[in-house]
Amino acid sequence: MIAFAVRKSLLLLALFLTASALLFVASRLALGDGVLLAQKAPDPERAAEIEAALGLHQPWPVQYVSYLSNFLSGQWGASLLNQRSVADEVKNRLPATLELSLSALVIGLLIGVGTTLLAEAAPWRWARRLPEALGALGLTVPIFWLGLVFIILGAAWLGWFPVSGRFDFILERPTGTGFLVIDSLAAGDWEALGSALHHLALPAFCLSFFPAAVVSGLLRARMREPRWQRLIIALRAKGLSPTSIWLRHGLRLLGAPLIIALGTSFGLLLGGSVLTETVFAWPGMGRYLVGAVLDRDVFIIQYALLLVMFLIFVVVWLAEMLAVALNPRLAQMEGDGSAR
Amino acid sequence: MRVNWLLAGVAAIAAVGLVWTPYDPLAQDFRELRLAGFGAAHWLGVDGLGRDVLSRLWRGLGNTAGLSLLALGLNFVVAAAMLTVEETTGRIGRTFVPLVASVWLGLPVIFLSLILLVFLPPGGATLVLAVALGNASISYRQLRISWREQIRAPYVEASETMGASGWGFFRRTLWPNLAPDVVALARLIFALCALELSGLAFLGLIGDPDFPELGAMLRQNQAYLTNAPWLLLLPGSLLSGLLLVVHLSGHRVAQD
Repeated sequence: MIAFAVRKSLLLLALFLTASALLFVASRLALGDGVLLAQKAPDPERAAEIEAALGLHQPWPVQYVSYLSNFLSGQWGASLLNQRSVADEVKNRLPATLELSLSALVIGLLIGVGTTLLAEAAPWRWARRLPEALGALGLTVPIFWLGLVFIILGAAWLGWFPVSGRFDFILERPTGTGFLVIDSLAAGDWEALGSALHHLALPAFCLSFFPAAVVSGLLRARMREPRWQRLIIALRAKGLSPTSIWLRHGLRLLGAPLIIALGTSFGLLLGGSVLTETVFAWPGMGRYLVGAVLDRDVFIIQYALLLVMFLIFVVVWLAEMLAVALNPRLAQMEGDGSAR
Repeated sequence: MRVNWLLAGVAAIAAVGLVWTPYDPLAQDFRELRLAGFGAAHWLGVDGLGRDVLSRLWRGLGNTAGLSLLALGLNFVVAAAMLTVEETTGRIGRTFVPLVASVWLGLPVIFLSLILLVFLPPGGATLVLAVALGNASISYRQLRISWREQIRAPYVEASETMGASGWGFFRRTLWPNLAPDVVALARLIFALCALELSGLAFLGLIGDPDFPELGAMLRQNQAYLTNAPWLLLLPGSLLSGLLLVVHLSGHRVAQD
């Protein structure tokens, strides 16, 4: 098991280093041979000064190492366009993205488990097609269009939800962690909590279709295995009702693969949140990154995008470790050389 | 082989949109009342800049489907190349290619695209490259599973013993057994490519904001959300309809 943990950690570390190297090369290619500097500062002396300040005169390997060490020490520099510190922007925006993604994860988990349980245990015929419909939805309906439809229905026509943003601007914004739901709960400000949840509802529901499809697809595939079918027959023979079979035995036994799948889909969720944030004008990392890419603001991309990928890898790593702790047989199965 | 007429029909309609539309999708008609809705001259009305919506939708369908098909082709070329390297370079290939693929799989397509767009110009070609590469590890894994399953089957061994080799062997013996898996995979990758491509276009990464592509149209029409919601509902329904036809075509094959 320790060997498994070490191997997984090394693989993810290699993954992170590769991703950071890719990002570094891409951003240096974007800078070009001082073309950008030549445009901004026609005076060659001033250009050389800026180049030295940014460390661009050093050879690439040296720059890469200092890039990594800067990233780890939190010195992320500032935007090329407006000189705003990347670290400050990230501090404001990352909680917004995480609040959205984690709410979507929770809602998606509930929808995914709920539809699968309905399909397996409910007596209605239509319920059996639900997980399939959910999977088809994921492959046919673009998530950003779903968001727009939600806005048209829920905000423009019915007027039940706000169109965009994260918080009502007339209310006083609770401070602290940056997670508005947690902050307003901690402050005991019910009006603020209501506003935060009200703004969160549509985007989180929209984004929750990703994890819901992943969860229900995984659960359904596992339940189709002959081993499960035999277990169910044994439990039915014991006299248990379908509901208690799924709630007491099914979910507990399916926990480990579910955790891995959720960890892996976290990246998908962050990717989807880039689209959802754009639709709902949610002030998060996704919009920041897309704006930076369109502006070619290399330093924002270099550090903020690496941070997002770092988070993805950390979550995948945590999920793998947790799953192995829950079910140590996973480590052996991996050792046999079978693919995940 | 049975032809799926629905899919063929949709493909033909999309192809027509690429070469002919009732109006020029970029031409502005200033005599029409903008955002007035459906009418006789312009069946689906004109958009906020006075361009014929039907023409833009039609060309957009063609562009989205065409670019996704290009991405699908490129994606299969890359995946097949990865598989070939793995199968022919011995130990090194067998160790490194799966490792590279697992690293690749860890990067969500949208972030890979953002990395590419850092140094490539925003545009259709860049998006095609991004979604093709982003999904390459998925199709590599799936192709590898199908390939390994077939290459170890007894009938392959029997054919080889009887002296079959080269292209004829692949075409007559292996391909008929590989084809169903490859077609199912192509359907999946096409859907992923179309969704991601239009998503990136929606983010404004396709460059030209007037380019008639369904995602880019959604971006441009977002401003008319309250007074002309059909400008948003139509492109999305069209894309979903296309993908639904592609998705359901798989079910029919599976049932046959």
